[in-house]
Amino acid sequence: MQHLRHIFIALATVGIMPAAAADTDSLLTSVTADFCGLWQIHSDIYAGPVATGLRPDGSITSVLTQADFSQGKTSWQGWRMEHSRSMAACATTRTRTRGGIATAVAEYRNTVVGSLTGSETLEAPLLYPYLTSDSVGGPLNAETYRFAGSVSDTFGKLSVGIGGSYRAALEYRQTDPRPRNITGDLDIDAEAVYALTPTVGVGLDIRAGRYRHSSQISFVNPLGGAVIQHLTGPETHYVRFAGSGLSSLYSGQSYGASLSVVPLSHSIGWTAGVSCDYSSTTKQLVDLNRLPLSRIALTRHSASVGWTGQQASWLFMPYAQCRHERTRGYENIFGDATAGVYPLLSSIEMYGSSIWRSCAGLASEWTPKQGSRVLFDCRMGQSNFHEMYRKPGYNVSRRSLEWLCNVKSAIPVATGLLTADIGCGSELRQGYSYVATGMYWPVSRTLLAFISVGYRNMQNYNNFTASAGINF
Amino acid sequence: MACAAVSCDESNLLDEVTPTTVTIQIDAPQLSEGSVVSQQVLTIHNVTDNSDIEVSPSSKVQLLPGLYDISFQASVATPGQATSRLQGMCQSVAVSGDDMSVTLKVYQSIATDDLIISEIFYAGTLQPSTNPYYGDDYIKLYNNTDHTIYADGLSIVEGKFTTSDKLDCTPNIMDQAMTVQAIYTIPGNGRSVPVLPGHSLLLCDNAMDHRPNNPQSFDLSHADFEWYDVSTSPAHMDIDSPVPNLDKWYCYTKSYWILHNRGLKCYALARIPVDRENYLADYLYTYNYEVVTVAGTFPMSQTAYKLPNQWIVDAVNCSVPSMYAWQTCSALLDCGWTYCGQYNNDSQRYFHSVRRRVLYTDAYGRAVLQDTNNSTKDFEPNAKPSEIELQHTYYPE
Repeated sequence: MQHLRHIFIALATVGIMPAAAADTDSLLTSVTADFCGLWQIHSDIYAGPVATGLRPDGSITSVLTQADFSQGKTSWQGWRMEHSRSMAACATTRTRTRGGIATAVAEYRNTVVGSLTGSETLEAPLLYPYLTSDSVGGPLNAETYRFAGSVSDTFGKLSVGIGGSYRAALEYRQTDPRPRNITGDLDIDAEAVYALTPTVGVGLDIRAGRYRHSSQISFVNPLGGAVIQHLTGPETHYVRFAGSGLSSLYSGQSYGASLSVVPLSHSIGWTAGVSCDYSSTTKQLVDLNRLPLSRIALTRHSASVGWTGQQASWLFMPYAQCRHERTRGYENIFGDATAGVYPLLSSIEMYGSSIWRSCAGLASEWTPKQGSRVLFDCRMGQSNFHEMYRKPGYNVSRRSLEWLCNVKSAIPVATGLLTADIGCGSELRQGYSYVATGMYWPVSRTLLAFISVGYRNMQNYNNFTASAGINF
Repeated sequence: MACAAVSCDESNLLDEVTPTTVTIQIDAPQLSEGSVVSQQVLTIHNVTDNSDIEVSPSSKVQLLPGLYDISFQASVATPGQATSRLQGMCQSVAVSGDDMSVTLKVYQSIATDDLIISEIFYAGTLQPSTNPYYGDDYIKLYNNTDHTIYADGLSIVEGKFTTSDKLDCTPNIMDQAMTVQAIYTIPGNGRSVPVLPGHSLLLCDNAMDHRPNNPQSFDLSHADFEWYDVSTSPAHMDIDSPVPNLDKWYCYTKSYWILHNRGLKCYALARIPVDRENYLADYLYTYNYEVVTVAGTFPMSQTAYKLPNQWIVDAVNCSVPSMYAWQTCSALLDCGWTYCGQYNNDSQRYFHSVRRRVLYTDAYGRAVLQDTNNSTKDFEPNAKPSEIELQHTYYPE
């Protein structure tokens, strides 16, 4: 779905740029990738210190393993997760073809959550408020497979690319109640960039996605059992179908488009983009002939603008961005079943939420000497979050100041590269901070090994990450 | 700052929904002259979210589109006569559109001056191994009046339909009769089984001391009657204990009858004014309904026996909160339902019963139980069974 789509899209922009002029060496890409649709392509392969002078120009393959451990509680609107750990293995490859670039990604992640209550699935943020829950909860195992790929080519001033990604997730618990979630998430993307001038291009990206998620709950112990709830918000659920819907199906689709202006040379110049996305997901009760119980519709708009300039050994970019997300929850009201078919009486908008986020910031990158880079990024903005239910009493309205200060550095040490990433900020009145460091060193002329560790804190939730891998 | 330019006034995120104006008309029977109706309560229950509102019977109500149960209860004081009740219930009213009218048929229920069901222990007990134990289910009848009542001739019946699966039967006879699948009658000549005021009659499955078989059960050897079935299934034989058996008029099973273990049935007491042979010959009920699945629509036809509502002296609907779908008897007999456990197969239901609430204790120390023909109000759900209470046997605290 849309929140995952930034994983991979076509590499059209890079295809236009001469190899020597590609801005992939710049740590600024990690900033621009944050808010400009077309530049999100850089986030996977080029983000971070791998995109330094140590990286061999041309094709590159990265194999990564990662361990992740989280301690503490995190909760959001009624569902709560405690303690988790995960192991992941990921391989990415990028091949420069004659006129463009082809990429492929394969990833496997195994996650164990210590306790999950208020939801049967880790996909809760996507499906809220129409979650399925039981009154017991417990640990949850999750396995995620992700495959993605893209190709792009250049025809004169026009670069085009297509990409796609598929994510399959299996979530399960081995004690009663035993939820079993299977998720299939397919996204496809098509993109074109036209070089208006040698330094400025305009790009169009259109995308679509399909989402299917089946959730089943079963009990092995004949004396086991729990209240299975179809939630509709805090402390409310479909009482009427609470006992009958042990199997539910989420089915959705998404569409989106972005229009962007990007600099094509050394990242110098204007960067701007507008983006619009829509997704709709329906929850159906399988046991009742796929009764469409509720539907969640999400509309997302964003706009961003920035300008990158250069002064001696400094690159700097003032930027501003604004996002709006609007969620609507529709609940279907049914009459009594006649011959097993429930007549639809009405479809009422029972839930709505809106979040406005806007910020302005300045990112600057300093290159003290060849191979060294230090990035400073500071932004400040405001978020306005509103949540409203048809049943009064649970409405939330929250306005908060959001900010981020981030410093990244990549400094050559002996034959390797030492990186650091430290930052702190506040989001929706929740403060967070993080620190990460990594070391990259060449094992041979074509092999680059790396190892990194990181720590992130948000309120009472602490996350530790360790990664190791090779590039060649 | 870009953020300063953003307008964020979204005080009303939800689209307006036009509520439906519902006019509820009470279709009450003709009351005798001088009758005074009081304590009128009109309750509107939203089936979807389980919320209740109480409104004045004469007013128009604005409701969101949805499915509702509407019930009405009132007291009627008639000059020179005992107080009676007006009650009615209209289930699954589909509210939609701008305006609609609902006619609620209300019945006048006069105290039947007969025994009532005071307790149903249908969930049973568990063995120490946590396996369910069968055979110790029972029903207690109670004389809630101030005079002796003879119980012989009184029948205990079990409804055919389950309160968790609503059926649209053709023909629908619920206003005239209850559909039953088991009838057991207390034997006697009409003066054989006297029940004194404030006394109970214990009817059970197997009138024996169950403790040797299950240390967590209790003694039912002092029961007044048991229902005994001559099973045609050699693998499932009933036990004939040395207490009088109820007269078996009819039962759906070819082995032996036990109360529904999860309590998804309606249980009733009836005085059937005809003999067994005539009843079984004249009151067969064939009904049709459809089952729709993803594989298609299947017309179904079944038979059961019908028991006219005027013969029934008390009825109790039982269900499970997470599964309840409908009333399986007329609102004249019961406007509510009671339960053990919270959800389907809830293991907490074992060792629990539904018990009628005590309204007050009179000057002679006799408990007067609540009987408003509304089991939701009259019964204590998930109650401690009286036999466990009396015998101090195992009870999971």
